Amino acid sequence: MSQSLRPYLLCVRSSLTAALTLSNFSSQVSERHNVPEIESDNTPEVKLNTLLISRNENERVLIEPSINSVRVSIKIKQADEIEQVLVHKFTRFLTQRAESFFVLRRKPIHGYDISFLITNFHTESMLKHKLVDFIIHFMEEVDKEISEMKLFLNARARFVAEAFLTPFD
Amino acid sequence: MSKPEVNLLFHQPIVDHSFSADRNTLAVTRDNTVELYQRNGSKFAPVTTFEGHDKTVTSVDIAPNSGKIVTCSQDRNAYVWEPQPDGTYKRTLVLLRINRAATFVRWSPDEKKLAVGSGARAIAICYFEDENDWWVSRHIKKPIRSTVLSVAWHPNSVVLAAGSTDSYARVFSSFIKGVDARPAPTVWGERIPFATECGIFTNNAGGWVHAVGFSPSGDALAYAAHDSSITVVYPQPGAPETPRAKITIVSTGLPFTTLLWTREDELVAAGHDCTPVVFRGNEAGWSTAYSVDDPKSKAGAGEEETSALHMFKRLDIRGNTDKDDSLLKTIHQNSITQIRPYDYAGDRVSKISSSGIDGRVVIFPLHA
Amino acid sequence: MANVELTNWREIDIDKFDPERQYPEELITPGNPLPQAAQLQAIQQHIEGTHRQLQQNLSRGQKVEALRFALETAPYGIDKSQPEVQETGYVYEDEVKAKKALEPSMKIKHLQAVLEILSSIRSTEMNDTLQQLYEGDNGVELVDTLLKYIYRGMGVRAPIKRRTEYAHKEWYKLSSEEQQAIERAEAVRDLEEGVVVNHSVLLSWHEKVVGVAGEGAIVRVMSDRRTV
Repeated sequence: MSQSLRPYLLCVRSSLTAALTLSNFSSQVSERHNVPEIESDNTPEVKLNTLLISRNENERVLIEPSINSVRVSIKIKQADEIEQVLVHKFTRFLTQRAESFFVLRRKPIHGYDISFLITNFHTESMLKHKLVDFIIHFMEEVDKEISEMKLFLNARARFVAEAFLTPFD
Repeated sequence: MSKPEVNLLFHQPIVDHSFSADRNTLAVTRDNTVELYQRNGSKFAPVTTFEGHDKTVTSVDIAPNSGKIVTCSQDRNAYVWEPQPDGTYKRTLVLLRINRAATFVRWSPDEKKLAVGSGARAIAICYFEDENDWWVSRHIKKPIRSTVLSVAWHPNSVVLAAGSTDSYARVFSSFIKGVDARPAPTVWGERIPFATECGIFTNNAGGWVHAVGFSPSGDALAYAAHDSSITVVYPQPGAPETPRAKITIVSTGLPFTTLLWTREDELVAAGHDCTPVVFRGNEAGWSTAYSVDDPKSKAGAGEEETSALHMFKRLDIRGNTDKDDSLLKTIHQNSITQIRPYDYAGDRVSKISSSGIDGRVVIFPLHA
Repeated sequence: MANVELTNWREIDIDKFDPERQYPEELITPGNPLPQAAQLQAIQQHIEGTHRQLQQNLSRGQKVEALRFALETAPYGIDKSQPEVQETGYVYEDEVKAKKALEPSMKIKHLQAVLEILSSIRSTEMNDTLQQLYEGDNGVELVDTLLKYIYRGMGVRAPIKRRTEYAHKEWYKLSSEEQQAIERAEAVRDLEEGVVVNHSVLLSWHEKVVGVAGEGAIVRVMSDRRTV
């Protein structure tokens, strides 16, 4: 693991742990409703300050906490156009299957590639520290996955190019 | 010191729990219902389920003397369940007249009144009206600007503390003519009419006030806020607005959501760190004494700090973390929602009971 | 309501007409005195004095003192002065502009100073510096403030949705407070252009701070309305 990834992930881990201190909170605005306050956005006092963690200008995590929900958005590293396409396709694949992915938000926040919405119901039915582990695991894997896909794509392109060039040998 | 007694009741959050005076009956919230358990040796066996609320039940309280049980829920209602001679319970609706969730309910120590906190930015003080045979309420509304998360009664059953999401802990008078006898003067004031604000406290770092509590004598107030702190306030008699001492203990862990005074110079708080912590002190200062269920004492030395790194290494090698890694080292596997006194030794609480999101009710012995 | 037919009833925010409706300014914990127009000059001078002092401390190698001083004088909460001034009066227009420009630029200047100090401290000295800070007077609060600056530093040049990126219709659906907030964020974002951030330094500071003050410090950064 590269040296600068570790402090980055540690920082995300501790920040997420601190943000995942959720409780069941019924809406103060609409009667008999219980909505994620970070999404409904009409009770300012139950939202907390947002935290932004960045490894560099291209890789960051935005944590938007509130009393009963946390929105976590991730900007995945995209060094070139191929990576941009790959990240776009990959996150699209995931968000289209959001319902079997409980904590995934269907639409990422502006400026980020993928967003998660964790509510108190998630922290109640799953272990909090495992949810944190999951996000960290995701962040770790996605980088690896994207660079592997890129390598694979390049290798394939090279192979195809070579195959076309053989007749001229 | 004896071992903590662990009862895993089910795999759903227990938001609040309450024991009867003889500690043989246990009421816990479960989703839209309240379940009643009876002690059977070392286990608790389910007896009855109270159905009637149609949203999450947020609080339950058993009156120690009369045995009446009060429940409240996010469906805006509160019910009083009165035990009948044949073992059933008679349900009475409390006329709360609030239009948002009821968040917290507690019997007054004299059991004549109920205080219900709510998301309607109000506290409903309820009392029984004999001629109509129902529970009616009066509201404390004015200075409260956000959802009331918890309330706590002063031993004299008139003074009431409340914590809310506008990050204030407030002290009110709940004196109702015809219900209460005139109380003796306290440090919070004397002859105070209904809904008078006798004290308002907040922290520099803000934070929703999750829990409030009066010391056994009622002369000090403690509150737990979402800035991971516990604050103890000693009011000035005659001028409760400017306290004699206001001591904030800042924690290095996650916020506390519930607290309990165990004696005049000791209190226990618990919350998202899944372990109760004992604080001791007096007007001169407060400090952390010990953690009741210390996760660090169970871990090998040094493991705590590098565990994240270890996990990543394991992830790299096996693509999965160890199985035993998925358990926390504390007894509660998720946030503690409420702690209550369980047993007394002299004038101090010697055992506490705690309920958690993980569906456990644990009885912890405390150090003397 | 002259044009009844033209009113799109479904789009009216009826909550605005709730007599019990509350405004964010009322709900966010007070505690920061609102500076009056006359005080702004003094604040500006104080901040400039602060920066001179910081430079002196830093050039003399007194890094802990410099850090402590910077954290003790952290400016916050000043943006609340804005709603007080009526923007309608011609006379006050300059004053309003001055206020709007002053508040973010003061905070950014201070942020820059703190970041400079943090980068000037070598990684081997971080723990000692923190211990000295934490165990000194008011240590917990200063370390919390330090953590606020660490997060603020990492938040520099974060993407924002600019006014020009809003569709015409979308923009006019926003309330005037929301529009002002977006414009303010844009102004802050423009000021951030020149700020130098060393992310890996901030990340290792973060690790050290959490090691000393625990996750409680992060919780306080989130709950504290006095943002830097």
